Amino acid sequence: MRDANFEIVNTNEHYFRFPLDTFVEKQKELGGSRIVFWASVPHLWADQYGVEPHEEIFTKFFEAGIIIEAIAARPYNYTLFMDNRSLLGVHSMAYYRGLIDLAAEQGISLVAIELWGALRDKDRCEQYQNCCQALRALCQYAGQKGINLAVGNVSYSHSAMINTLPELKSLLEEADCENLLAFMDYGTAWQRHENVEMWIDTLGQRLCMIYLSNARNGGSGYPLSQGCCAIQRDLDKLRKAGFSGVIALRMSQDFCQQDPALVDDENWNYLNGK
Amino acid sequence: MKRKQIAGMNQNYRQYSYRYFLESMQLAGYESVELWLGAPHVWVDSRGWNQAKTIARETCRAGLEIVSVTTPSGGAFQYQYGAQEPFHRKRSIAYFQNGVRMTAEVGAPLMTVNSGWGYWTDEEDQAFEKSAEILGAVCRTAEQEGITIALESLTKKESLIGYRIDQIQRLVKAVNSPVLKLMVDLDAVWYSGEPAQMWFDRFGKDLVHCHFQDGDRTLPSDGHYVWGGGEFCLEREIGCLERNGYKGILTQEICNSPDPRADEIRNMQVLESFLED
Repeated sequence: MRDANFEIVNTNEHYFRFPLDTFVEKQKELGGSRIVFWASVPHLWADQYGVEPHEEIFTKFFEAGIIIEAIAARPYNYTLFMDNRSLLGVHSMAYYRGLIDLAAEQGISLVAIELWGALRDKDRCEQYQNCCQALRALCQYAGQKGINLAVGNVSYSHSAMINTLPELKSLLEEADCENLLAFMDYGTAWQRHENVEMWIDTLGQRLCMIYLSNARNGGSGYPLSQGCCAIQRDLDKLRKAGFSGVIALRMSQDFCQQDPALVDDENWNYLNGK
Repeated sequence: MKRKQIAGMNQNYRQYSYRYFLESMQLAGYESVELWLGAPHVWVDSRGWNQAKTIARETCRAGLEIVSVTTPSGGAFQYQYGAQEPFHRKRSIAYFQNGVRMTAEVGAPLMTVNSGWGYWTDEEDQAFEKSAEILGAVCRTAEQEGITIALESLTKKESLIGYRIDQIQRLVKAVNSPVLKLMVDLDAVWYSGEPAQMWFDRFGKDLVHCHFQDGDRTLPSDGHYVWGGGEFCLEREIGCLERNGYKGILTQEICNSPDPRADEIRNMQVLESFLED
């Protein structure tokens, strides 16, 4: 769906228990020509040793007329908060470099990285500096290939740091990389009493993507018709604010995996006011 | 039931360091742990593993014994026991085999496994074959390393092929390995309507391990709560184990606890009413 300023697109995260073909067929049925690709098993294998042979995977998208707006790097157990010389740090960097290479090869200009893995009992300053250093190194690597990176807010259940807009803003400033952009996890921001106006006012054009879902007190990633967020009102606000990035529907609640096609139908019905 | 049979698990501490987990175990009064081979505590992948001896040494210094191991699958990891795509299957086999080797290196006698899951679009037989292949490869490595493999069921919302007793029995027969035994995860078996007694009736002494935590019987939640947080009757569950002469480990596979240390202390306080020592 194309609107005045932005594109609302699907992701394949909730098709976790279905082959990629199921997701591609559903997008064709919905008439969706763009997606954010959640680069995860079972649809794509990527680890610190590289990405699996993938010509067939991207050919499916090409033949279906689907353009990939961004690669969403699934964090698995990788983290940028560890010392970059530690084994976990080394493997994490290798993993993200592999996805940057993939993006460059496939002509995808954006890789979104989730900042999972800050520990609750370790020195926060040290972890923060590790993350900044890692981002600078990855941005330099990505920049050489014409790729932008984006980082965003993370739920506290996944990371002890970068849970809020002010933390993200500080991180972006500290890392100080031109090709480091931001994404907003809308549901996580709602849980922290943040709204789209705050994010737009604070980040401006640097905000390139929004993961949109509904949310409840226990978490985000709910279908648009199942939660407490003012979705339609906030989409109007984004239109008025001239947001020109990507809005990716992110259905991360486990139950969405049971019938993801139904979830997609419900989301688009909700967006179309049905 | 002896205190030594109650094992804590570091899966609930993935937002904390391993040292914090060990301290929590000491504060709560545990003597045994089930080592979850996940970052940030441990690294295992398809090409190797590390920190086995360090982890074993740290755990021993904390006065704790590693009594079992879980090599993580699915969820936050690329690997699973029912991987459908050939490339994924190959990497998963190598990873789980390394998990077995690490189990041996830390000195634990047992590693837990599950059936994995197929695509929801698969025929059950199709998904079953892939799971049996992976489990077979893992068991062959376990035979070489002298490790017992304990197979647990999943829930119907997680797996096409491993949520019922008959499916698990079919897998065991297909794999046909002397090291492959059974285990019960209380949440999984209750959710499938096949409580622990049914497992003892079917498998007897081959039931060698237990993930023993509170959960829900009436709500389709993820369960895995501290005791007191769900709907199970602790006295009845322990009674079932004792009636059947169970002498194995009762791992407290608590997940997503907002304050794992406080919850662990409380959990052990609840269990102490049933301990001999």
